[in-house]
Amino acid sequence: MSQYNSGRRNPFLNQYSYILSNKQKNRNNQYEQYEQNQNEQQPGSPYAPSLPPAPTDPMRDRMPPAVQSIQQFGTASTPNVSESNIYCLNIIGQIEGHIILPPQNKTTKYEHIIPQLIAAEQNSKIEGVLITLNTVGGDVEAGLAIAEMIASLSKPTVTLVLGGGHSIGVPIAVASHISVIAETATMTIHPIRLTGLVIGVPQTFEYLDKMQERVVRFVTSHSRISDDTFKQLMFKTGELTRDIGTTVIGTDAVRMGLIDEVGGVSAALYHLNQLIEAKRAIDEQTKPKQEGNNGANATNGSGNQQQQGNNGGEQSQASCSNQHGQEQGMNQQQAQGQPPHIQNQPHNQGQGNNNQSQGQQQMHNQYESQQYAGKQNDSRSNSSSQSEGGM
Amino acid sequence: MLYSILPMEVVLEGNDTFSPMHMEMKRNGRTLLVEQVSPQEMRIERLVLGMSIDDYLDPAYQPGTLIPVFEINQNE
Repeated sequence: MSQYNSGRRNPFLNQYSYILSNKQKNRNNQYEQYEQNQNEQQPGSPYAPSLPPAPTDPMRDRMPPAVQSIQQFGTASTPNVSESNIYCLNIIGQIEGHIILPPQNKTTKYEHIIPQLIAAEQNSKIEGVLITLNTVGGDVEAGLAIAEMIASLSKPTVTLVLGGGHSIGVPIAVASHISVIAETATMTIHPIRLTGLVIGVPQTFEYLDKMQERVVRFVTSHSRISDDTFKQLMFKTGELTRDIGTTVIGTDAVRMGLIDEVGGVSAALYHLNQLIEAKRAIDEQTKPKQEGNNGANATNGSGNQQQQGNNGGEQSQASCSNQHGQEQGMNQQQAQGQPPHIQNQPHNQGQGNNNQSQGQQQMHNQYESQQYAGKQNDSRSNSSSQSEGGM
Repeated sequence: MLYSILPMEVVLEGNDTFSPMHMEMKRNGRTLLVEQVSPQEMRIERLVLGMSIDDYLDPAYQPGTLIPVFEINQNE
């Protein structure tokens, strides 16, 4: 993780510019080739390579269809490249829960996000989820629900805070495996309150306190920030004019342990890809173990078949990602001397497919202990994985 | 309960007069919650019931997608 220097002082910048200049050269060559092909081809030939437009185009009619459609209809259909293994989820504006907010609010709705996250977890082609965050806060219940959903995904997740991740955006920002914040992005931490209302009865105060405690507990258990520090930030006076609380900016958020790293898109994607690699390696490592459990010196292929048989038709995420496993990563892990499995908790108890569920749990534990060793306060991981089993 | 840096009065401004007109419709076997935005177009509010979980990742059923009214078959 630490070998990557994020932020604006990118050591790879020189290499990048070299690659880019080469790319430009290639593109020009491709252009000449494309023009040649066009001249050679008969009209209506099925072969039509789609290339970006030349800087100065003498012949408009020879443009690739995508460019023509931009010129004619003013829309660009998304390029039909090979499907990405990363799913990107945007959370912007207010987080909307039980009440539909008036139309001047830009909102991210809870009921839109949840099924997408479930679909992303279940989809065998998606190997990682990138969550970009620019939110002013919103409904406590909806926000915490989204945060819990992100935290309980088995696939690697990275959050990228751009602009702002305020109030209920804070638990969402820390819910992922690795959180990245833009250097200029801010996060406001303040108490939950009912603006403009005098709290009449002690019970109301206690209720608010309880709601607040949920947020504090989630944030402290999913990031490196301590309970005391977070509460200090939350109840600080003199920083915000209308309220008590603190605004932390990019680097401060990292220094306080709230966020893992300052960076941008490249840092976020770098970490996500690294996590995906690690997960593939772990999936690969669990494969021979399962064959051992089944008591057969079977080849990989038949091992997979057996697994799928155990699932009873249910499309399992573990068996899918096993197929992408990489030998290289497995060797790395063995070289690091990690014990084969760190914890073994009863997961999915009472269900028939014991082999499968144990294997998954092992993978999960190993993966977490290796990747998130930085998050020291992860005291809640045990209880959360138990509650997953109850779902 | 709102936990936001925006004051409640800003967020809830116009809440009294605002009444979204949502209705459910079927399209290709999926149940959609839609809102009529113009006589010609419906906007998908959300996919209520998909045929498979992957429908929730299908761009055709993403919230905010506009459907021309003439394409709609309500009796499906």
